[in-house]
Amino acid sequence: MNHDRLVDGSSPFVERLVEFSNLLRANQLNVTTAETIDGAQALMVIDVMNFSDFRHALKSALVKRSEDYEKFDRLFDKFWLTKFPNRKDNPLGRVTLPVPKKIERTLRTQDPRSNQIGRGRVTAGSMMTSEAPSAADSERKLGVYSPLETTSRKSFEDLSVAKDRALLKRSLRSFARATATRPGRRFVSSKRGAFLDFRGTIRKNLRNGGHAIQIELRERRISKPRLVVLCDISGSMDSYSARILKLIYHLSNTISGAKVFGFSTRVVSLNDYLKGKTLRAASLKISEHVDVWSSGTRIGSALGDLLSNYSGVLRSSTILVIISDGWELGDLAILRSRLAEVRRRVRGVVWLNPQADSPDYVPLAEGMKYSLPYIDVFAGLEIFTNRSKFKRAFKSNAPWN
Amino acid sequence: MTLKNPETPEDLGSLFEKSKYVADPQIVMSVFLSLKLGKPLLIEGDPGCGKTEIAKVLSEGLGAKLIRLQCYEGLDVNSTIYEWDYMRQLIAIRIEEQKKIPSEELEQKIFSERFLLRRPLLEAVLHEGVVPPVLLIDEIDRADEEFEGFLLELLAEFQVTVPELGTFRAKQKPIIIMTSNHTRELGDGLRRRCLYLYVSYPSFEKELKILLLKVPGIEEKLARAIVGAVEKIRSMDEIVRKPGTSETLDWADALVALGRSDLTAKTAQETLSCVLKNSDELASLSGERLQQILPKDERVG
Repeated sequence: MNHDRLVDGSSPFVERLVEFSNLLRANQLNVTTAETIDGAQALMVIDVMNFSDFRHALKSALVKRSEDYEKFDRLFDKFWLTKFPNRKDNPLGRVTLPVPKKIERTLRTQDPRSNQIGRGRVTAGSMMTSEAPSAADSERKLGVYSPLETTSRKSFEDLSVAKDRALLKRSLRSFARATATRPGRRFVSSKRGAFLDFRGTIRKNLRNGGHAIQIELRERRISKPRLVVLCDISGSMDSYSARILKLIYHLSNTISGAKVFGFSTRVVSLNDYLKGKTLRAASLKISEHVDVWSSGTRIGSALGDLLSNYSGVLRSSTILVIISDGWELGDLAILRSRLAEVRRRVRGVVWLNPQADSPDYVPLAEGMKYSLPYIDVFAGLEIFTNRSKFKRAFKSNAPWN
Repeated sequence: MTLKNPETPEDLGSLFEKSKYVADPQIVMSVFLSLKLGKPLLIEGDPGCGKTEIAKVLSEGLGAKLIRLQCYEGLDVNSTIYEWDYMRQLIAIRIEEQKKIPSEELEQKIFSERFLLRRPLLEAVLHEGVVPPVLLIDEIDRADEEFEGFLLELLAEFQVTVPELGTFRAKQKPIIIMTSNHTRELGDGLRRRCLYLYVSYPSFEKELKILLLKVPGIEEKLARAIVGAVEKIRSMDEIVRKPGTSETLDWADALVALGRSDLTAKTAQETLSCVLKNSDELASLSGERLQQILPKDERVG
């Protein structure tokens, strides 16, 4: 097989690969031109007639996240195992491929609905014909992506520019500053530092023949805390969704390194949808991609998810901010043990409950009652728009002060 | 045992086999492409699933030097690329002082390669040998995002810059294996520059094969019981830190060392700390719950 011909830019084979990349992209896999080029290069060094190798090679080159593996496999089967009628445009010329019994069996198992595959022979053209549908056609024919699937997702209508936006951003910065008091591992030059700066001293004293006349000092740089926000996006929080979205959007774009997760029945990272776009664009992205909005609340299970899958964000420098009303549908004992485990790992836990903005609020929700012993700061959302409430909440309670 | 430049995935598969590493086709293909295309391989997966072992096996099988960079929070350029040997520099300054040489010349002398302490990345770039080294950047998710950004230059150009000496370019591209426990999201830039492989917990059959290969003298009955128990533990909601294959191997080693041939409730209770490393989780797996992980013929009641 002439591999160079296979990956020639004009080859229908490359067209198929590009179409496949488009299909992956249309299904929210982050496949850029760089990945497609990797895919083409990968096919140059493997035996493309070995279907298993073909799949694994494309998977290595095109998929960069574990959560996309399953979707890739599904789309791969749908795209490459679909037999197209016109064999004249066989991109591999006259090459035909007898199907070994093992592969035939695999194909049958993988696509039981297809009666076109597995008749004894599969031509390379049947896998890679130029008459493959366009990405849009593919979506329709393959039934793999539809905006209708987002019916359970949230729409955000109340997104008018708030007059308190500037205040909110200022408060968020104050919040970040208020939590930054811990000396980190790194050093900065300082006249009153407690450590000798070898490098600086040597440089400074070269002209003195190495005699350390001028001593350079350094001190530990104050490390910024890592803010991790775990935001309840379950049905019980529906009435606060616009406010919360605004808060997490500005938080994500104001405080560098902040990690924002949404949770209801499972945890979803929201950073990619929130970073560097307008609030409206972020809301559209979230409503399009996040399908757990408005589901039930399982805080304990969400914390378990966080501990298992994102444990690296829960460090001794982390301030965990939980935004939730505390309505828990899961096991309360699990909630308590998970929260205790989380509290052990992080520097502080801040719980923001939108209901706590009401002066008559009493934490009656079971989840809230069980959680209170592990919380350092408990407040409403108004702390970010009301300066005095902010000071009151953080001044005496925060363990980092 | 050295196999140079595997020409096909099958060649590489046999290399893994000889090193007693049970690799599925996706692992073999990803490593093969990484070698063939000269691209770094990013391996993500749960702790203890054999990610680091891939680099070790590769280095051993190819007869390549293994250069390891263990990442941690606060990792900086001094620990990864180079550091000046300040003590020796000070001594040198004192010695040169007697000769009364101009300060510019002195500066040139003390900031030369002689006083440069090579750290793993520079060592990989400057490596001279027939076989390129295997550079293992372990647990990159523990390092800061700034370090990740810095790695991009290395991955794109295979060169590092020491301001006082200039830019060093790798004579031959190192084989780069990066591992991540998936504890934080790595940037898209880094992902784009790598081929990707996700290693999850092995299936029952695969883990059984690993145990029979790696634990000398283990009986198949005991191996089956251990793998079955670990599989059940992993499926339990209340267990946050799921045991990886390395914990399964530890447990098997412990039971073989104790001369046990069956996994009874008593044996399990005594040795469960090999797989569970948290006191709450250990306490939660007793009584009725412990019975659930045992083979049916060992359960009581």
